[in-house]
Amino acid sequence: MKTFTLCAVTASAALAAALTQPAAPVLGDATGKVLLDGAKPETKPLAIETEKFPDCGTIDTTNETAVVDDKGGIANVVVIVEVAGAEVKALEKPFLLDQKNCRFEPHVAVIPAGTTVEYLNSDKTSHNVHTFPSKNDGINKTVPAGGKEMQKLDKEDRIEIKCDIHPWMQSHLVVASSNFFAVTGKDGSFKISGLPAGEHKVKLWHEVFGKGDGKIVVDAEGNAAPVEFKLSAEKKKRGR
Amino acid sequence: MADRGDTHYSVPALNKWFLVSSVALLGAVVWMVIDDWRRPWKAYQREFEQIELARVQAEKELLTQAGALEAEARLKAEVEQAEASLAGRKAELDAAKETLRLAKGDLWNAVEAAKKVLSAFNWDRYVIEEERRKLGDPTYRLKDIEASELALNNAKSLQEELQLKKDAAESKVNELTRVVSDAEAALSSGTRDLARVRSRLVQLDPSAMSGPEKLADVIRDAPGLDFVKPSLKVNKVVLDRLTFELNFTKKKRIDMCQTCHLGAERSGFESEPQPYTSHPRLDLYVTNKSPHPVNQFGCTICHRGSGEALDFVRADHRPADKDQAAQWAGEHHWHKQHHWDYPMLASNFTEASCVQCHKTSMELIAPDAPTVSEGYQLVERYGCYSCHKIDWFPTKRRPGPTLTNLRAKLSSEFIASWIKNPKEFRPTTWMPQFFHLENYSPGETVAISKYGQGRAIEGREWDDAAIAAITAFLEARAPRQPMPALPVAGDAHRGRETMRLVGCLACHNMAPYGDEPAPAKDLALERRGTNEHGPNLRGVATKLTPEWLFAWLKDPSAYWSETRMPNLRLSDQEAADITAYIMEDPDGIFRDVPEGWEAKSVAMPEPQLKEVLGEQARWQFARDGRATIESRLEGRDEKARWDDVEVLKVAVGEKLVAQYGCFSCHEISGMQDWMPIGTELSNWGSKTVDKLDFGPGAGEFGLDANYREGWLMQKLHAPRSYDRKKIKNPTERLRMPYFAFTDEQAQAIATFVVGLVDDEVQLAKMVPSADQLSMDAGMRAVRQNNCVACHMVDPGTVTYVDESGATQTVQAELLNFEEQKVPSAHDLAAVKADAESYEADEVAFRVLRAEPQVGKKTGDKLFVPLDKLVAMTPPNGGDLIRLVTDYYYNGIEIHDPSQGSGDDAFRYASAASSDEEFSVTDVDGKLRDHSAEPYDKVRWTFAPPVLWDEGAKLQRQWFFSFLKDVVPLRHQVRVRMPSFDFDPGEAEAVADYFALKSSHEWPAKFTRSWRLSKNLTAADAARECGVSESILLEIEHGGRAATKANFPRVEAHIRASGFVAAPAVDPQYEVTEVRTAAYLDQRRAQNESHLSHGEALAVRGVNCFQCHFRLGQPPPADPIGWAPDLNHARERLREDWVSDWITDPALIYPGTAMPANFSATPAQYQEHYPNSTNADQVKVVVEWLYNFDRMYMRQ
Repeated sequence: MKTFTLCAVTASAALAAALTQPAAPVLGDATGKVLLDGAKPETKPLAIETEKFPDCGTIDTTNETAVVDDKGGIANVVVIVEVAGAEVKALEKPFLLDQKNCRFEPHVAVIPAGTTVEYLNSDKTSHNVHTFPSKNDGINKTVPAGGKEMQKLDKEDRIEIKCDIHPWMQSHLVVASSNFFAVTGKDGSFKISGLPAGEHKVKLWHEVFGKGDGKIVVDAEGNAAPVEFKLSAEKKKRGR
Repeated sequence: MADRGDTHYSVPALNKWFLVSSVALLGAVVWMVIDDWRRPWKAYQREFEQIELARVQAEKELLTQAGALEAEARLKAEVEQAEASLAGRKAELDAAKETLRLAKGDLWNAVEAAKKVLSAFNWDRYVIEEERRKLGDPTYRLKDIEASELALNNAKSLQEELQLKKDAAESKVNELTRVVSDAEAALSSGTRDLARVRSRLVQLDPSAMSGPEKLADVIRDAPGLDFVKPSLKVNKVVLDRLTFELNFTKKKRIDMCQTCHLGAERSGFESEPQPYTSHPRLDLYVTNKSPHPVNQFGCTICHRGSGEALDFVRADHRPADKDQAAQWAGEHHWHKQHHWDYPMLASNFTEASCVQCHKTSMELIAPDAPTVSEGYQLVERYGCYSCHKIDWFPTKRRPGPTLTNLRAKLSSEFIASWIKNPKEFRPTTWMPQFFHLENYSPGETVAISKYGQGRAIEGREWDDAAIAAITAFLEARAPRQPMPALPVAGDAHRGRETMRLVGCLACHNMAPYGDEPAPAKDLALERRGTNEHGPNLRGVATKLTPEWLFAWLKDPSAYWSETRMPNLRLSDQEAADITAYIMEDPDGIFRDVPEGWEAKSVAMPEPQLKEVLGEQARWQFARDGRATIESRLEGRDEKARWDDVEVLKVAVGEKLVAQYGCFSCHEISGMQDWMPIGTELSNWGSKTVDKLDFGPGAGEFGLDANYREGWLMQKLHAPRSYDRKKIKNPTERLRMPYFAFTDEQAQAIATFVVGLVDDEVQLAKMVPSADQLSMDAGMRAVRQNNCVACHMVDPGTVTYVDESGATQTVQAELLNFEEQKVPSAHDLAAVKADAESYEADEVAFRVLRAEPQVGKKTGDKLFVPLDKLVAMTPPNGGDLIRLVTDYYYNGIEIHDPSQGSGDDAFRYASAASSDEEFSVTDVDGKLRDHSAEPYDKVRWTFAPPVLWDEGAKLQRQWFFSFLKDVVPLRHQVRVRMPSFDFDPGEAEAVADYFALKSSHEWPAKFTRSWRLSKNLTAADAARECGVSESILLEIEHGGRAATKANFPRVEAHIRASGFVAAPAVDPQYEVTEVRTAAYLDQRRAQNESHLSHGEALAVRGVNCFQCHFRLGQPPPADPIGWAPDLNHARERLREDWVSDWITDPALIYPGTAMPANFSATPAQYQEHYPNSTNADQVKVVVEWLYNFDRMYMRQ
C-alpha cells in the first residue's frame, strides 16, 4: 500500500514536471523607488576624533544611517520580494563584508539564507566583528589586520554588526529567505531581476525608518510597472 | 460462711456485698485491660496496614502486568535447565568435589604441620641464641639452626603447593557449578522486586498467613497478653540529648508520634490522609539522610505538643483554623490542653522552631524557612530589636535617623506633623504611629485634672499636647547649626540624569501614593523590593532645605553615623545638580504630597496647652511630690519655671521621650546610653500563656487568643487593644506603637518571636562551621547593604516543554522582542503580555549555562513557543540594570496624569532637555545618543556588572580592599560603586561570602565542565560515574546533600579520566603562580622570550589598548568603547579565570564586548609568536598581564 502511494506521488510529480516543462517561465524585472513620507531628517556627520586612529587611514565620517536625497529617495533600504514557492539558493561564493578605513563596506546588505559571510579586515589595525543577530548565532571575534573570519548564516534574520574597538563602525546584514532582493541606491531606486509572473509581496526595511510592505505585479509577458514605496518619516517612540 | 450469731454484722449480707464488690472489681479489671487494649492508635496501625497492603498488592499487580511472573518462571526454568545440565556431568562433578575434599584435607595437614615446625624453629632459635649470647660465640650450633630453618622452609613450600592444588580443585568445582550459580544469581536479581513485595505480603496479608500464624497474632495481641510481644506496638524515639523542662527538672524527650504517623518517614504517602501522610520535606527532616533525622531530633522539638501522648487530644494537636477546630471537636472531642505549656504549633507557625538552633544561620536557612526569615528581617527593618532586647540579635544599629542635629534638616511644623502620624506624609515609612491610638482616643478620658478635682482631659488633647512637648524637647536637644551654602549652582536637568545614572534609584523609588500601580513606563515609579531599601523620595522637597540635602548627598554618615546610605563620592557639581533637581522639581515628584497633608504645628490655644501639659507634668513628675510640682507650675521654682509654656513643653517632652522610648530607635543627645523600654524578647516564646496580659479585648481579631501566637498577632495588629475596658493612669498605659502590618507581616513576625525560646536544645544545638558563619554574615551584609539592587548575583531560569514533551529548566535570560530595546521583565506574565503586543508566538532566550540535555552551550539562543513556556524565575538581583539601560534608550518618560495614560500622556526628559531630543552625558561630559546601540552593548558597557561566580573571578584580598576603598574600574560607567561605611568585619564577610559561594559551587562547576568537555547527557555521564542521573543533576545544581554524599566518588572518577579543571576557590589563599620566580625561571627555560611574545601579541597583535586603559591612560575611542585598566588585572583577578576569559569571553559573560582574540583556525599572529597555538598565545598573554608591572619597569 505504502509503495503504491509512493509510486503514485512520484508519477504525479513526474507528470506535473512534464506538463510545466515545455512552457519556459517568463521572468521579469521589477524596478522602483523608495521614498520618504515626511520631512527629511537632519543628520550630523559621525563625531570621530580621527587623529586618534592613525591606523584607520582616512576615515569617512559620512553618516549613512538616514541618507535621503532632495526628491525624498531613501538610500540603503532593503527590498525583499517574497516569491511564493521559490526555492532559496545560497550564494555559491562567500559574501564579502569588508572592513576598510574603519568602516564596514557595505553599510547595508542582503544575502540569501545559507550563505557564508567573509568578514575581511583590509585595515592595518585589528577589528572585532561583533554581531547582534536575532535568530542566528552571534559571534564576537578579533580579526587581525589583513585577517578574515567566516560565518555561515542559515536563518532568516536581521543582523547588526559592530566593531567595539571603533564604536562608530556599523553595518546591517539582512538574511533573506528569498533570492529576490535589492538595496536601494542613493536616489532610493532599486531593480530586482528574474521575477516570475504574478503578484508578489514586498517587504521593506530601513535602519531608521523601520519596516514597510507593498506588492509588485509581474504580468505574463514579464513586464512590471515601476513601483513606488513609501516609508514614514515619523519618528517612532524609542525602544518600546 | 455461716452466720454464727456472734458478730454485730450479718455475715450473709457481707458475703453478698463481698460477692458484688469482687465481681465489680473483676469487671473493672477486665474493663481496664480491655480499655487499655483498645487504644485508638492500634486502630490507626491496623488501618495503615490495610493501606500498605493495598499498595503492595497494587505493586504486585503492576509487576504481574509487567510480566514479572513470566520472567520469574523463565529464570526458574533456566536454573532448572542449568541444574539438569550439571546433573549430566554428575560423575565429573563428583570427581572434582572428591579431589577438592582430599586437597582440603592435605592442605589442613600441611598447615598444621607447618605450625608445628614453626614452633620448633622458634624454640631452637631462642635456645641457641641464648647460648650464643652467654658464650659470646655467634656461630654456636650454626648447623642446627640452619637445619631447622630448612625444615621450616620445606614445610612452608609444601603448604603453598597444596594451597595451589586446593585452589585449582576449587575453581574446577566452581567452573562446573557456574552455570547453576549464574542462573541463580540472575533469578535473584531479576525477581528482587517480586521477592520484596512477597515478603511484605507475608507480613501484611492475612490471607497469605497460615492458620497457626494467624492464631499466634491473635494471642500476641490479646488483651492482657499484649505486653509480651505484640504485633502492634508503640513506636518511639528516645532523645538522650534533647530535654524539656517539666516541673523544674530536665526530662528526656520521648516522642511517640510515629505510633500513629506511620507514613511520616517514608515517601509515597503524600496523598494519604493524616495521620499517614509523608512528611512534606523528607529532604530536610525525619529521614536518616536528612540533616534532621528523627532518631536524633524527634518530632516535638520542632512541632511542640506532648510527645508521649498516644491520644489525639492529649498530644495537644493544633487546628489550623476555627473550622478545623470545630471538625476536630466533633471527631475527636478535641479541646486545648490547659496543663501543657507547649501546645503544638499550628502548621503555619512551625518554622518558629528553626530559630532555637539556627540563630547563627538565619540567612542560610532563608530559602527553606521563608516565613520565619521574613519575620527576622522585618524585626530588623522595623527595628523591633531596638526597643525589645533580643540578646543574640546580630544587628545593633539604631534603625531611625539621628535626631542630634534635627533642626538642620527639618522645620518644627514638619516634626510635629510627622510625629503625629508618619504615614500621613509617607505611607511606606517604617516609623510607626505613636499617638491618637485607641487608648488615647477622643472619647477616652485620660485623666481628671488637678488630682481628680478638675475637668476630664480626653485622649486627643492629651496626645496633641504630648506631640507639641516632644517636638519642643527634640528641638531643644538639637540646637540649630547653620548649614553652609552650596559651593556651586546646580542644574536640574543634569541632576535628573545624574540621579538616574549614578545609582540613587537602586535603593530609592518615587512611587506615587496609594495602592494603584504606577504607569509602568518609568521604572523609578515602581516599587520593587530592592528600591524600597531607602525611603520613597516622593515629597521630600517639601521637608528639606537645599543646604542640608547637599551636605547629606556629599557625605551621609557625617550627619548620621549609622546610616545605611553609602557615600557615592559625588563631586560638588553632581551633588548640587541633584539638589537642584529635587528642590526645583521640574517633574512634579518631589513636591507631591499626599492629599490632606500639611506640615503644621499642634493647634491648641496656649492656656489649654498649658493646662494639659501641666496635668501631664503632675503624672510624669509624681515622684517629686505635689508641693514641688505645684510650685513649679505656678512659677515659684526658679530652676523649673513651668509657668512658661516653652519650659513646660521641654520638661514634659523629655519625660514623654523617655516613656515612649524614642531614644531606642533614634540617637538623641544625652540619651545615647539609655536602656530600651520594651519587654525583652530573648526567650519570649518560652513564656507561659498564663503570664500574658490578655485583657478583655483578646480575641477580637478572630485569632486564637489562647495561644502565644494569637496573643502576639493581636498585639501586632492592635497594639493598644489590651487596654480596652481597663482603668489605667496615664503613665501606665500601653505604649507600643501601631505599625500597620499586613496579615502576612504580622504572622511572619509572630512566627519569629514565638521561636525565641529558652535554649532547651543546648546539646543538639547546631554548631556552625567557620564557613557557615562567614557565609551567613556575608549574606546578611549583602542583604543589608542592598548589593543585589545593582548586581545580578545569580541568573534567572526558564522552564519549558521541549519538542519531546519533556519539561526542561535552564538558566537563561530573556531576549528582546523585535524592535523592543530593553527586554521585558523576567516574569512570565510580563513576557506573555509583551509577546501579545508584538504578535510574537515564540520567545527567545539566551542560555547562560551550557546544557547538553537541551543541546545548548553558553550563549546559544533558545526559542520557546509561547504555549510551551511553563515558568520563569527572575534573576537574583540587578534591578538597576533595567533602569539604566532603559534610560539610555528612552530617557525618562514623565507621566502627566492629567493627560490620561496613553502615549501622549508621557513626555521624554533627559539631561539635554525636557523634550524629544535625546542624548546621555558620557563620563567625558559630552552628550551622545546611544539609543541606536544594541541592548547587549549598552548593558555590558554602562550598567552595573553582574557578579555570577564572582568569587572564582576575583582574588579575595583585592575584593576586600576594593570594598574598603573603592577604586573606579570601569571608567565609562556613570553608575558608581558606592563607598560603604562598613561595620568591622562586614567587608571581609562580603568578600568571604562570594569566595565561599564560588567554592561551594565548585563541585557543580567541576562536574558540569567535565560533562560539557565530553558533551555527555546527564544520563550517560551518571552511568560513567556510577551514580544515578538524579544525583548527578543534583550535584550540578548544587544540592548540598547529594554533593556531600556522592561528589567524592564522582570527582575520583573524573580525575581518574585525566580531566583537569581550575581548582576550587580557597577563600584564605590565592595563587598567582605566574608571578613566582620558580614559574618564570621554568618558563624562561622553555621559551626565553615568553613575556615579550605576550607583549607583542597583546600590544601589536590584538592591541588590547585599543579598548583597555593603560596605566590610567584612556583608549582612543569614545567611552562606549572603553574597558578596564589592565594594570589592575594581576592583583584583582584569579589567573585561571583570566585564562578562561581570554580564551572565550562569551562563555563567561554572553554578550560582552570583549571579543574572542585567540580562536581562529589556524592560529593567527604567527609573526608575533612564531609556531604558536591559540593556547600558547593565551598562556603568554596571561603571563604578560600578570607581570605587567615588571614589563613596564623593564622598559
